[in-house]
Amino acid sequence: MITRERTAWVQLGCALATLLLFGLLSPRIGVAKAQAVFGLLSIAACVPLMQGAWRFGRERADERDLQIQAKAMQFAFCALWPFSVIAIWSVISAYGGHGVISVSLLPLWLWLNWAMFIVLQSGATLVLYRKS
Amino acid sequence: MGRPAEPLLRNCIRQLRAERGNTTQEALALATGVTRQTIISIESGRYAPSLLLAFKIAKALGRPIEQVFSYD
Repeated sequence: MITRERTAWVQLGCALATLLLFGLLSPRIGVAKAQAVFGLLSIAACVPLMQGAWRFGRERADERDLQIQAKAMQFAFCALWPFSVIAIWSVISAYGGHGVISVSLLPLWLWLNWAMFIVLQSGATLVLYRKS
Repeated sequence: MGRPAEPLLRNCIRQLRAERGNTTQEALALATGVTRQTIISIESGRYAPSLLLAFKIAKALGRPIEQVFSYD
């Protein structure tokens, strides 16, 4: 297993743990406070930097790595797009075109998208490394 | 993401490495500037290398490219 695969595993674990914790905590302490768990996503963001610093010069990114990275990114965008459209249309259909929603839902929307993107991108990366 | 494509680009890297004696996958990877995993993928036909990488592999094995890769 190369560094990039390990990075993808850590990122996937971070994002899934974050979503799980948010799901567990939000009914108990409220959605606004439970959003604090999305701070865990910063670990996922730091992993490539830390791995790059540790492994600098010892492991290269070659054309296959870059191809897998590009495909995984493309897959994540394509998969997230319907999710985003469905979520927006659900809000509009629930509250109406002139409805009012809490401002605290906006950061939640961003956090959820970011977590979903990491799950999809790292998951696709792992699958592609297995297949190619 | 679908089903892996049929291998169209065949190669005899494994045989040529064996002929050269002590050329390991790691040594070939170092000589061509890729990871060992990429060499493994190319050898098994799961990954089709770029033209540049194919030339680098052929050069590292000391053979013309047509003796290393063939297209079916």
